[in-house]
Amino acid sequence: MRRVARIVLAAVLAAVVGMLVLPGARADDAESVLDRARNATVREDFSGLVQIEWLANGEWHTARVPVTGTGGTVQVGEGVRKAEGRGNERWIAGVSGWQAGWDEAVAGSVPSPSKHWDLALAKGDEIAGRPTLVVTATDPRTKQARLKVYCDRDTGVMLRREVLDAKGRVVRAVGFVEVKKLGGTQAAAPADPPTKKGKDSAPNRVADLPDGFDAPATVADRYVLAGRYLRPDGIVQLYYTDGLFGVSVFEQRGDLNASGLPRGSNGVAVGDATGRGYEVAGGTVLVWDHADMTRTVVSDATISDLRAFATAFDDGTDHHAGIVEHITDFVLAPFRWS
Amino acid sequence: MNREPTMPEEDVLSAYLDGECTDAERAWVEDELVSSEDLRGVLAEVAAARDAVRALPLRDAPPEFWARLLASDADLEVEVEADTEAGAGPVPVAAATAPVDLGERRERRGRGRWFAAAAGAAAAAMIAVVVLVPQPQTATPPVGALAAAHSVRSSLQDDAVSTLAPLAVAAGFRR
Repeated sequence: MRRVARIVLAAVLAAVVGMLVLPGARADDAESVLDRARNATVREDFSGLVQIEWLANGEWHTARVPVTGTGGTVQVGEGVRKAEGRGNERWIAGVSGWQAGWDEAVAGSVPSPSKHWDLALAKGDEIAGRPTLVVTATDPRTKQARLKVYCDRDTGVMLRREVLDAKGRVVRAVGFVEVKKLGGTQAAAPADPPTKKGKDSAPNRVADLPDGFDAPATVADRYVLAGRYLRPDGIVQLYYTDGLFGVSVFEQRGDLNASGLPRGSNGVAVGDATGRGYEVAGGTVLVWDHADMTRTVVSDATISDLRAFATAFDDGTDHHAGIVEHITDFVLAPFRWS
Repeated sequence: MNREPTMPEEDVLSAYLDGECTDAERAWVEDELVSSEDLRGVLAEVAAARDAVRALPLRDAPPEFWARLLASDADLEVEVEADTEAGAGPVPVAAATAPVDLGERRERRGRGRWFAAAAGAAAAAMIAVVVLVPQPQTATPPVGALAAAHSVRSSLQDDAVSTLAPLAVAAGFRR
């Protein structure tokens, strides 16, 4: 009888633990869930409502967006504020019609998420009435969870992404608050809107950057350069990723003219410079200048993480700067004024 | 001090043509014109230059010019009255009619030319600095467009819904 009681107790404990962490779940499983989620919206049809939540200056902001996925084409928004993803093309609609945001395949290796993060897979809370699996990414240095990704248990579609700060508090989230349709037979892709304009507004991938621009292959020993692009307005875009967080670096020649920036920023020290930081719907934005170059980094990572990235990026470009540039800077320095 | 002009200058001839010479200057110029063919040639050139300048068309100044001029004139009158009250008095007639000292005038002109040359050199140096030394270039990032560009690029290697959704809402930047 005592033996039977022990077996029952063990079974109950296993069930309780199983509700928190999936039995046999490993980092490989968590990574495969993340991989599956990346392309799930191309495989699965869906429709619903997505809410963006972000914390700015201690105040929460929210915005809701209707979303649909049909035949591999993802459409977000409505009216004059909408965007569309179709294969390697991205289109953005505004008051003047559709503009191309992207028109070519991306190349470049993306590091495995488990290279820099400890990944754990567990049963997650329901999101918009759907059962989920949640992947938690923990910083192995601080043992603090920094990202949670909730995926639909049946289709693998990502239903919610939460970014946590260094203390483990959620500071940004994007997720479904309503799911009208998910899965089932995939329909044909919608017709290409006839009003789309040319592709002149899309950036071009470049093998070599213009003189004076630099792109370290890695930043802070974890972010890997995954693409170099030149925008039509002459701004260079570099895309880095550590497998979970993507960071865009935009470079322009010249010192930062802060008077032309939008209001609502906070001062952020980047090395010797004082940058301007923003928390907006599209992510965290940090603008600063260094060595006659104005840089803007954008990501959904926290401002502290972006600050560390920016400092490491400056160090990386300084290391690459040639002796000629140093001599030129030394000679011309007395003639510069601000 | 030698008060007799030894060599007529263009400005003396110009003053002569305008009837603004002193009696001594006018007498001296007229004597020289009789005996010097070179001086008559210079006088003809000065007269031609003066006529050319006077032949230029006149244009009406904008109304605000006269307003500014009258305002500055009023200020000037106030200053003159203040000088008079302080005992500066009028300029002595004897000084105005004294024979011109061309040597002294040439010396002043020489100093003026050196000053003009130095000022010109300084101006040229400034222009060279402005043209040759790279000017500080400034940049104002279009942060809203750049945030959107990041969302677009992220959507190609990450979940398309969560990355594209911010493109469909007001970015949140304040102008």
